[in-house]
Amino acid sequence: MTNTVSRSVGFGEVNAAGALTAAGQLVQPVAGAAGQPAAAHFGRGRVGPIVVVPRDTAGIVAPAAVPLAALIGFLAASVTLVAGARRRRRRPVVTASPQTGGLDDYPA
Amino acid sequence: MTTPLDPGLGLSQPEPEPEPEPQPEASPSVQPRRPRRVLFIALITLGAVLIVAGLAALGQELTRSATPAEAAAALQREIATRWERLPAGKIFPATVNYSDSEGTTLVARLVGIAPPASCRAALEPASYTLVRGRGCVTILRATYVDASGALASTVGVAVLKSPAAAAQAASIAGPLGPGDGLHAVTFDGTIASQFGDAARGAQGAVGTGPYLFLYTAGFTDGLPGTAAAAQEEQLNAFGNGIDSGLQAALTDHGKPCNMKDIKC
Repeated sequence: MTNTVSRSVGFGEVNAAGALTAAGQLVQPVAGAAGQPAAAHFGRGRVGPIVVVPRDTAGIVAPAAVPLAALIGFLAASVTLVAGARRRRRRPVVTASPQTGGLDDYPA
Repeated sequence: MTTPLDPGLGLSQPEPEPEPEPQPEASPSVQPRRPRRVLFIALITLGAVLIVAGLAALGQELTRSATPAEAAAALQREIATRWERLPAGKIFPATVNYSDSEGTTLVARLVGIAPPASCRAALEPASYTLVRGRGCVTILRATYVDASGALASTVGVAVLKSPAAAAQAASIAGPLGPGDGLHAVTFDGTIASQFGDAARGAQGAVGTGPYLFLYTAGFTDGLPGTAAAAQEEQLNAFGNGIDSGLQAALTDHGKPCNMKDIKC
């Protein structure tokens, strides 16, 4: 008889790993994995990617509040300034002093 | 004769002291207005500076790259949720390389993957105390057989709340007996159909990341656990080997920003 012994399989001490693997193949224990399908997901299933920079609220609100407050202050100051300038322009200008008299001031 | 200083003309009288020329007064409203105007201009300038500074800060916050701490935190979150991201077949692959008690590398084969179970249901009461209070979410289990088909092991992945919790649980799992750990999962109609709780001859656990990797091992022919325990070294090598082979899929990582599920 020929080819009854394979050196690649061996026996025990000769090639233990090969013997075990060959024995396992002979047994054919698993035709296909049982239970859950390999493609199934545990838990909630597919979860979205994780965003590393979450743009934390404090980090955005604080720098956004500063220009907002500054803008309000800027507008308020501008309006006040313009209104003040207009008021001054409308006010009548005093040209002569009541102390500047002519000859009439002298006694006759 | 009149003298040039004849007072009769009325001109010889000494002239009254000329009144001093009235100095042109500054407008009463100008003086207090000047500081107010300066104040307004200062405020407007300050406002403009603050607007620019705030916008610059906002732009920087919105366009900056991740800090190392943020990237590390994202990586932790990614690893902690990887059990949900990966399909069951990636967590429990069809084959797993392991080393037997003599250091020979062999291949274990998957028998089946169990549905996720609660920690209480998947563990014996003694081992449930390991994870109770440590945020155990669920336990994922699968059963493998060794290269010869003689040994079977049910491996379990307990999802805990943190790496520290997993490490603590693993550190106190050692003294438990072979039948005090994970419940075996039997798959009817397979070579491991005789492997059940009664056949458990060894158990163990190791914590990696937020996961506690557990195993319970025995013989596929249903050899009672008491007898199987005589081969504890072999069983432990098999169970530990599979656990080690499964850890990479759930905990290996590269740089956070280079990973598929992390957006920097």
